[in-house]
Amino acid sequence: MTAAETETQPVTDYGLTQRAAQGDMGAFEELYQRHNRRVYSLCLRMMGNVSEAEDLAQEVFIQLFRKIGSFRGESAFTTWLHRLTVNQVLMHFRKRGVKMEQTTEDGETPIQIVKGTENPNAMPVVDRIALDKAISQLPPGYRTVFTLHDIEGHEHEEIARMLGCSVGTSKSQLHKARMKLRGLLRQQKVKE
Amino acid sequence: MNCEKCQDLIGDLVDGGLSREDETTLSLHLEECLACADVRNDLESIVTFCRNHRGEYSAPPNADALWLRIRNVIEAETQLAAKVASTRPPAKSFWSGWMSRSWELSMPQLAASAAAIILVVSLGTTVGLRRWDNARATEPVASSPRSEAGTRVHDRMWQQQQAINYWNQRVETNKVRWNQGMRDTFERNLKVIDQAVNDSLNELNRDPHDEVSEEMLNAALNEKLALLREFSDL
Repeated sequence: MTAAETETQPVTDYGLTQRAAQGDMGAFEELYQRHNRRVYSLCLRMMGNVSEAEDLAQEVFIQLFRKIGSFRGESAFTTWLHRLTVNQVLMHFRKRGVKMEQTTEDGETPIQIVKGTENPNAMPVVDRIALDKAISQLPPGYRTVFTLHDIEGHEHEEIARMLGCSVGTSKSQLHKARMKLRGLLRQQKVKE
Repeated sequence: MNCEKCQDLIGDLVDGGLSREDETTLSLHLEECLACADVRNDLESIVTFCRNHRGEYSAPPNADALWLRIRNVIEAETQLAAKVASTRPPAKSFWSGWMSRSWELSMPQLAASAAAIILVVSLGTTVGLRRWDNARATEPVASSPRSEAGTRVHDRMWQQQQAINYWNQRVETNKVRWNQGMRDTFERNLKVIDQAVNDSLNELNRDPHDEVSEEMLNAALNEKLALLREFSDL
């Protein structure tokens, strides 16, 4: 590899964390530029609210700066940051006293079995705006599990560990979240 | 299979986690029941959409403004830390203190000091040799990083617990003056924080190297301390 090639190679996330840990704000800004969308999107989907998501993303990056020296590069930086973000959101929920096993706004309401004749309208084709809107209307517990499983791709075992619940609870929350989401998407179509 | 059972299993079908036997039974039901087939199609399109768009992120409304806010907070914290460090008087090192002392000893003091030194050195040698023999006789056990991490957390918790105990006593003294609303607020906050402490401790028991949980534990204990301090003045 020539010197020119070495110079043009982008600095790795790990390299930037090392420099940021020494107080290099330029390196930390580069990390922010690389990852702010990822952090903000996760916060937004878990919070369902733009201003709260922004506040939480801010808190995540401040926390990141405080503990960046402890990142040793054993895992990918994105994985580490993802975990930090999820923990920050969960901590926020705990402070607000949100019960993660909350099922619906009204409490434990069983999902109605959909009969063929009840709603003849088919669910509209899923699009980003409609889905984001419907996700934001889910209760926090549903929203968290749906985001972590279907959007972020975590397994139920991981989610159960993160939320401190059983795998069965995670599965049942996900099922209820999907059914609720389906109902919300259908409602959107009816309103249109 | 009835519709209720079918819709319970549709999630697993969509995620590909059904046994062959259940899948066959479910497929038979879905062929006959339009309502359930409709649910399956809808859930499939939701999940497929999410999977296909995984890794697509939306930008914060004003990423530059957000960065400025973050930088301001970090710089303010850094400046505060520097200020605190500069106002703290420099600790006099043990050796500089020791060497700068003026030593004026009388003959009996000098003799007593020499005797004490000899006694300490001989005792130290005897104890050291015995321990060395014992250590050779039994296989030395290296302390694992796991136990070191656990000890570090335990030490920090112990220190914070001392402070918490102190402020807790003050709170208990003042509690009689509080009205019911204030008591409820305090208890509610304390319950949430204690829950966070317990959750972090459980995580750390599972994995003593989990730095995020360690950080969360620390934050929760600090919050508990701040809450107790705040309420001790009321």
